Amino acid sequence: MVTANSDEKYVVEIPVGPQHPALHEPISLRLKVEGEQVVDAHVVSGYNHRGIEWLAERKTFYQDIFLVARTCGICNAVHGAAYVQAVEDLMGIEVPPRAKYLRVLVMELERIHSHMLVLAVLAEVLGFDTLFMLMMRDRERVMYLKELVTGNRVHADFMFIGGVRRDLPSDKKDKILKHINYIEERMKHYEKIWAEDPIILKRTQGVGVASRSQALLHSLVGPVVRGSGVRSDIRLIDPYDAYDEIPFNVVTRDEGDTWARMMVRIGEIYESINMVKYVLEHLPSGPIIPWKTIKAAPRRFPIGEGIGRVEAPRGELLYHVVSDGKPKPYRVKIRTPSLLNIHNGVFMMLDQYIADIPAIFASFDPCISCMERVIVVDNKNNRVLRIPWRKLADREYVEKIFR
Amino acid sequence: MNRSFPNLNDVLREYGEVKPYRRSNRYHIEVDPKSIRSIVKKLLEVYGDVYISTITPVDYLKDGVIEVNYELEILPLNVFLVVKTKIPRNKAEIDSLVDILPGAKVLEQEAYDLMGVVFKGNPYLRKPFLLPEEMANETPLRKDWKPK
Repeated sequence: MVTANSDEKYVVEIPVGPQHPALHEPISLRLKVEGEQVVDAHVVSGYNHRGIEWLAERKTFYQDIFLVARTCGICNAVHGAAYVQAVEDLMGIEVPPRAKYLRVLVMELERIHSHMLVLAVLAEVLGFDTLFMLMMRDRERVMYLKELVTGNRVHADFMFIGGVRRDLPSDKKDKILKHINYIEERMKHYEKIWAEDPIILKRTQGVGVASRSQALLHSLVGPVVRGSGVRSDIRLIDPYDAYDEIPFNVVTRDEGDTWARMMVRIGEIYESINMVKYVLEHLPSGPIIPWKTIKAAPRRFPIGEGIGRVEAPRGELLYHVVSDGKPKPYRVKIRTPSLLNIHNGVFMMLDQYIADIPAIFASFDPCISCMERVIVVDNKNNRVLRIPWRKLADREYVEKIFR
Repeated sequence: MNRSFPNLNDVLREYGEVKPYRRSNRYHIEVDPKSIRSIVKKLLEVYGDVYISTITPVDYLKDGVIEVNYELEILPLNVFLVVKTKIPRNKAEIDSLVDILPGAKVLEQEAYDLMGVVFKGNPYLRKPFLLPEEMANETPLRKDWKPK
């Protein structure tokens, strides 16, 4: 830490981002650091605002199913599910039981691969590249299963108002079980690494702690809030689709640190695997939409509003759809879990070391990487120096400006 | 439902009538915009574990109002409550919740950026927040906004 005397402090602002090679969101973090310790953190977003809410008001209710799924590449099926749930709520449509189970099957497969992705990414952030590659290799099997069920590897486009778009032939059950058993076997190995590896434990335990009350007050959602000991899971508190019939446990941990959030995700992968098995075992027979053909779906929409809430891999996902009786929705409000977790979770970074920031940030799912330059803010003389990153490597130069 | 917590209807009686939605455990209540802070304070006091899911502003151009929906989850009751308030379009101002419920910070920032609702007392409001720089003075989710 460069200080001339105790009351004269140099606060260095480090921009982290907005380029993201690791995860999908271009977002920038402005960290104010004193030495190695973060004293203030600030999120700059908006590099990639696409105006989906605006566009959704200009497409029909049916076109929007496919538009909203494009909000996120990783959890696209849950976006579709939340939107169709809101429209079904608006219209009062009852979904056939087989469609409910198939929705759960796809959403749980999505949860498995999403959690495996973030576990792999955090391993990479910690410098554990082998674990990253192994987990990504095994994750590919889940992607294959998603393709087997929905027809698409990434964008499922599986949900439809009133049901689903594709039935599951009975001969695919054994194939899914084979791969899901393999994933379960591999996850035991990965769980052991996450629970016992001394480097992972040192880098994640006690890092980025959020207490139970802090997590609730900051409206954090998903594995982040469950890692702080709150039993908040939409599947449990507001059951949708077939979640009121399928047995599962809500995984929580009390530590509230980065490690706890990752262990919650590992526990949820096991729960999801069990749910997939349960769905395959108990899949009801019958139609997948309430009408004879998909073309017979209603074309008239009542005036009113509908709310769709699902538990996405990252937490509560909410759609609020308002209709004025026209073929296009009057308003579609999308609230993604990452919006709350990224912006409101910043308080966990205070008083942490710079090296731990990527781990904390990745533990609530986005990721950060490059620090392209620094700005030196001299609080006493109100001057700001911009120093290129390369010059910082020059020790003499640095000593000169801090003198 | 936990019996030791008072009924939602009794708690909010002075503000308005709590009406159910079609799905069970979801309710809505229409209130005066001035009382939004006291409602949230009261819910936090009585139930404790309350978090804010989202703030949904809806622009009703014909009526000249913006409906601001505060969507709250009351965990001890497993109840999802939408608190609806209506504010005039041309003077879209409402009290901020950021000091009593810090989770509202980013939701208020988003509503200010896209719909132009001013949350009085929120020091973090800034434009542009999600929008690109050149749209700093525009509120695209208002119904009279047109792309240039």
